[in-house]
Amino acid sequence: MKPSVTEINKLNPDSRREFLKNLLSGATTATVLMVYGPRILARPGADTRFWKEKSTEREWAYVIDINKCIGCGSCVRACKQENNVPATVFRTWVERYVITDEGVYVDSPDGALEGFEEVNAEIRDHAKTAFFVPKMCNHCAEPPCVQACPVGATFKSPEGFVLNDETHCLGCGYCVQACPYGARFINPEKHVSDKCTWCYHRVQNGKLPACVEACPNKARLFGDLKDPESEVARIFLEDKWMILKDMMHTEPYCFYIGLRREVL
Amino acid sequence: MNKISPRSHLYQLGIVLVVFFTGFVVIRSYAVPASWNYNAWYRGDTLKDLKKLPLNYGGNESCKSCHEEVSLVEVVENQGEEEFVDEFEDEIEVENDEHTEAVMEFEHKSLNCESCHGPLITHAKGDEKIGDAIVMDKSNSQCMICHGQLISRPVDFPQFSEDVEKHKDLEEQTLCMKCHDPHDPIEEAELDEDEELLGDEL
Ligand code: HEC
Ligand code: HEC
Ligand code: HEC
Ligand code: HEC
Repeated sequence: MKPSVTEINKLNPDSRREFLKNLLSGATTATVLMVYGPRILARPGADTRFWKEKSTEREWAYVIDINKCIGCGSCVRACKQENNVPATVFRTWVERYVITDEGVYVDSPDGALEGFEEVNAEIRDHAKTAFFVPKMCNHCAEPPCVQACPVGATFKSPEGFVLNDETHCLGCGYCVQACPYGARFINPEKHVSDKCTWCYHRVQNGKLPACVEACPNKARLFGDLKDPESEVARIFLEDKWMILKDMMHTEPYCFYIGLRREVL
Repeated sequence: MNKISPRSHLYQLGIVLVVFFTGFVVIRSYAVPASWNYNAWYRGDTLKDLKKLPLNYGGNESCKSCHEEVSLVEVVENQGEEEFVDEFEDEIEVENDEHTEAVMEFEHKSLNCESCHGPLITHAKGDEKIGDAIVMDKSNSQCMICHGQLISRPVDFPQFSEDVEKHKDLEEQTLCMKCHDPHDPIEEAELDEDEELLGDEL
């Protein structure tokens, strides 16, 4: 025979109150655990934002001066020779922007490997202003490519370089998709992801990145923000720099001078 | 007939779990590199590997040790007289405290030797020459890649133009280097069209 509800309540008069009590205490415990649990479980000393394992000695920064770039492509050629980058892909490249009264014309023939030819007469007649914009990996403080990598092949080094471990990389291409600057690519020879390293091997051996070395007009600068003598620190003092895609909150460490809003 | 334990299904499950777990631990120990950094989540040895990559470009400093005389910065003897420095105005920088030498900088001082001559690694190793430092390109496109007239170049950058008297009616095949020394372009330009200056080996 099935007992009626009133009979059940008679059998266990406190069950409703008990149930509500348990529900409340359970919810409270869960909330407390969710908020404080990770903090209690985290290893002491380890930053929970794992890629922010920053070295405090140096803070490298890269500065690109649009007003000085002559679009010769020396940087692109130097990068290729220094890092053995295959001909069809680019760790750094130079874009040309021509602002006309009808819109913005952008091109980058072969990434400026052989420099630029003049734009055709039709565009030139309508041009209001024009300039070159060198582009490369921005070595973000919050790199989306590092978050996207499923195997930990791409990472932020303690010195602040965003690097790729080609022995560990699967070549899945998630990082290529994640990068808002289009700075990553799949190396057609090694079939793994590849990117600008800010010439990690050169900087760690006391040299400048090859592109900085090659630039004839000092449009590219590299240095330590913590060294008050360095040119990048001086530029920071002047506070005229801009960054690409500010709204992505990637906190890039490539700073531009004289950038126009058409590029942002 | 053997009596089957009523908990045999649990034992079986236990064995499966143990095998699975050992397998997991063994595979994992092979798959995770020894130097794995658990805080920042990468293979620690990557940094060492990257640091070992060869430096193909030496930078202008590296050429100086063997090619002092072609360096884009000319060292001039200074007799220690103040007026000597004034003569060259801002082109002169006194290099050291003893005022024994002054440095005059050429117009191409900011250029990288290797962007015209190719990377150091193909040319010298240690203090030995291992190969010819090719002049990558002696044609006019070598100069035009930087000095060709483009609307997108900064206006204050010197660009090849017909406004210069000597540039008018140049023939296609006239080499820029006939009048401009690639290392010191402004000096030779003043000496105009003397072909013998740079020799015929062009
Ligand atoms: C604009 C391109 C360019 C740059 C930059 C450049 N060179 Fe040259 N260099 C040339 C050309 C072209 C020649 C060949 C000249 C000739 O054949 O008469 C040459 C010739 C030479 C020679 C052969 C000997 C000579 O004097 O003719 C040496 C050595 C040399 N360069 C060293 C250097 C060094 C060192 C630097 C950097 C400080 C440098 N070059 C920068 C273009 C360049
Ligand atoms: C280890 C010493 C050494 C260094 C460093 C060096 N060179 Fe040379 N280079 C030589 C020697 C030796 C010659 C042959 C000189 C001769 O034949 O008179 C030479 C010749 C040249 C020539 C003439 C063409 C040739 O190959 O004969 C050029 C151009 C040149 N060097 C450019 C450079 C540049 C640019 C750099 C810096 C990136 C550089 N060299 C660094 C030793 C060096
Ligand atoms: C890698 C780029 C580059 C190449 C290649 C190059 N130049 Fe230059 N040139 C420069 C820069 C940068 C300056 C300095 C401009 C300044 O003072 O602002 C310069 C200055 C000059 C000047 C002096 C202009 C002036 O009025 O101050 C002349 C002339 C010149 N170059 C001629 C040549 C010739 C001829 C060649 C080919 C052998 C050549 N350049 C190749 C970058 C280059
Ligand atoms: C017939 C000799 C001659 C030839 C060939 C020649 N130039 Fe010149 N160039 C000169 C003279 C002279 C000047 C003026 C120098 C001055 O004003 O101080 C000059 C000036 C320049 C300037 C500086 C212009 C400025 O506005 O300050 C550049 C850049 C230049 N030449 C590039 C080139 C290039 C690139 C070529 C090859 C396509 C070339 N020149 C071929 C003689 C020559």
